[in-house]
Amino acid sequence: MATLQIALALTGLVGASQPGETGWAPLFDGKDLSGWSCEGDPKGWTVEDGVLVTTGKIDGGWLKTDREYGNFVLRIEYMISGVGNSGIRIRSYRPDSVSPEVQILAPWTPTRDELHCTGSLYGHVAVSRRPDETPLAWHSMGIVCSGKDIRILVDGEVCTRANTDQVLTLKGLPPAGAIALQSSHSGPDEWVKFRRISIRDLDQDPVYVGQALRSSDAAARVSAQNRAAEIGAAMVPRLLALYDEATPQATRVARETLEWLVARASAREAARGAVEQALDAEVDGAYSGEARALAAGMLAFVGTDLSVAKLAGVLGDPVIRENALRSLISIGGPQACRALAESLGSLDDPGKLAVVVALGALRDPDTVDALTGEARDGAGPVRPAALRALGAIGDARAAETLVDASRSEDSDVRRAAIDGMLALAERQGDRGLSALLFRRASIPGATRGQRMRALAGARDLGDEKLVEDLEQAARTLDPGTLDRLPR
Amino acid sequence: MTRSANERVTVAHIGVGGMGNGHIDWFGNLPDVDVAAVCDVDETHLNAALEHVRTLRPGRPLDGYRDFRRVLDRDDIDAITCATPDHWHTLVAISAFEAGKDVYSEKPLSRTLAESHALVKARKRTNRVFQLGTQIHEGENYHRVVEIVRSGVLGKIHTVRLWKTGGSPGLGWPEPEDPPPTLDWEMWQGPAPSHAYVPQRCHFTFRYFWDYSGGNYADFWCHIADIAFWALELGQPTSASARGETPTDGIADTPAWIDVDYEFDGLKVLWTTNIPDVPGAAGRGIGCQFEGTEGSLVVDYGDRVIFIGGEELKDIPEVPRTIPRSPGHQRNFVECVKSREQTESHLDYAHNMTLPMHLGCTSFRLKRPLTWDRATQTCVGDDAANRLLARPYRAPWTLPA
Repeated sequence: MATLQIALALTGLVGASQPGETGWAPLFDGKDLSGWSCEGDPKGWTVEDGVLVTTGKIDGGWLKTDREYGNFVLRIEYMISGVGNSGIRIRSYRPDSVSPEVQILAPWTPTRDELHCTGSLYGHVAVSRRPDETPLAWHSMGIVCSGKDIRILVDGEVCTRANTDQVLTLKGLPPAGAIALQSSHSGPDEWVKFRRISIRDLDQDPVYVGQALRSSDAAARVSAQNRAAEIGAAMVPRLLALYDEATPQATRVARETLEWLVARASAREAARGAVEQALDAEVDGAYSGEARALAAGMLAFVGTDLSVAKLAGVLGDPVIRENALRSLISIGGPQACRALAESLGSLDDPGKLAVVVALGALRDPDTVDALTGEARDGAGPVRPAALRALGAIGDARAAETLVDASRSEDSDVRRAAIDGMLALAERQGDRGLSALLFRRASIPGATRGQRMRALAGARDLGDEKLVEDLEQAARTLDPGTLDRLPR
Repeated sequence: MTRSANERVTVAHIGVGGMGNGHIDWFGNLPDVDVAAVCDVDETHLNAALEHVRTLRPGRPLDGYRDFRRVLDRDDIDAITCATPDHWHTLVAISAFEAGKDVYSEKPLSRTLAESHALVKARKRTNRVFQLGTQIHEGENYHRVVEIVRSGVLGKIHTVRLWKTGGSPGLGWPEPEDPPPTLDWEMWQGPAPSHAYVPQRCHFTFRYFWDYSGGNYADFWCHIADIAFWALELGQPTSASARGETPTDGIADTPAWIDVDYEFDGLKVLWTTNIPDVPGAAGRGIGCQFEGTEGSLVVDYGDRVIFIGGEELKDIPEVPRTIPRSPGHQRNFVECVKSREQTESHLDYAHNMTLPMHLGCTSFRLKRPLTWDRATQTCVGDDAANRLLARPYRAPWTLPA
């Protein structure tokens, strides 16, 4: 289990708590009980000289963290009195569920067998190596929870290993829960002290979560997907690395997780900006073209003008172009349109075709000049696409180009030009120009569909003379046109 | 100019691998319809469909095409039917409108909301006839339910529950492979995002990928939402809030289950993947419950049950029969092709009915509720949602404005 290896790698730090270490958070500040709440008498838990103390005189009950933890490494130091009895509940502090307790117990009773001594999961899993149980001395404890695996360390040595799937009494153990310290409960004069409590929440650790995404266990994978989405920008490179493993499962999980992450960020401005930057950085980063394409495509959710330059810069790459264009169209706006128009000069014909189509979808009148160039001189399919894009924009300046092209010998160009004229006419505020274009579109080279569309447009305009002329033309050119016209 | 009622209508079928065979049967049985062409990007499907039509119409001229645009180039064809995968529905229909053809198209109407809007505009501009293939609409049961609900015997309807059991299977972890030589995979993908060929992404299971569809929910929404929209003349919702999960045992990415809560004016509409615990629902894999102040009614495709004042009824004879019965869903379309009247499941109706499905898919994918602004046709304060509702096409395909 790679996730367990990562978790265990962190246990070397158990007992060597150093403030400010990356990934570790203190759970106890040595001053008060912020971050904790107790279910018993609050006076049962006190702080003395930076040490958390509980005695048998006042029942403080369980002291539990406000937050829940699923996969984590907990470091804690404890000292118990001569017949002290305490423990730490993990992942489960809920009255209605299995609630395993890591035992902390002085060696005072004959029943302190391996299933109930310090370091055992009390009554569930026995220690495999008995730890030092000396009371009245500080000991360090580490608790490592990673998926199904639980390890307990005392004074730096592993004493207990458990696989929760293989322990019948742990069936139904929740995947996460609060961590709770038990008050001293073996007599009024007994006590227990805790200090240097810190935690590494592995569910917030990009390395750990990245590994958990590769788990063969579906529930663990889905849980990691949700954690990854919460972590946000720092997961972006790790998800692309997963995508590059290129197995069906890796690509499916990476892609969906990235979508969840991006979706989540899209509703939170600070996270959105960070995720946009992380994606933007990967568009021309070190991962494969396919992974960079994935990053480019995800900018469709969270991209802004800040991503336009990077996306426009990869339009020459046929692997990334499709997704970059989808995102540029989604971002939209004058800056994206300008970047697209400017890119035309440096692209090969397939690139030009795709950009011309994108400009047709964006319909920015400021791109008419750039499109007009391609509508006059574009090679192969670029020219027809530019003619249609000009029609979609609906700007009167394109009329002349379209009418010229409608006389072309090339039937693809002619047809596209007439389509463009019809679209332009349908979008025109200038009724005179619309009428002219509908008339010009109803020429011998037009298809029946185009003549019908021109007639429908002419009727919409309410120009009776035009309707009459187009009907007459249709009658001459193709009598079937009129049979099939809508009312 | 209206064509006379006894004139013949020439039809072509586009997309004939699955549901297209239903179209071939349905239209093949209408005596005033000629089938001139069938079209499919997969030669295997195309050849089987040619054979299918020839069996129904022996000795009649028939052509096969792999590119639907060549079908639309033919001046003798009056109408097309479309049973392509969802991501092609809109472009085929708009291209047909612009070529002067009427369209009978499979559900769901569209793959995105932007497509729905483009469809509505293009149909209006070209004034063509359109029918969404919601053939359950034609049945006596739905007609009678509309009469009963509208009669007011259930009181004021405050809750509508819609359900369809079953979700996306995972489809395992297949590797990409070369597409079969009979299939034009590039054309099959069309305006959808490009992907290496994996058989599970294609015929019959394409529905379980967002790239092409929206899973079972998107597939069945309109069949059962139809009765609610028809009976209550629902407008558009003001909000949609989805929850659910995707499969974990394979490459499919649409919901393994999805529940969506919608708010309409004075009414809640609740979609669930499980059968709701309401009287009359048990045992029905798909259904709609109308819950009113005076009673409730559960309806599925062919059956209904009414609960009023502690009584369980099949009908309320006092409610008059006021709604003209359908001559049949395809018959209705062909008559409208001739008369130029609106079909029984016409485009404006179909668009209105499909809109909540798009909001539900979007809320599911973004994992958050959406507030829908009917005036601007946008989600309030949610750019990502609005972008998702308008996924751009892949070049060289373009969605006509």
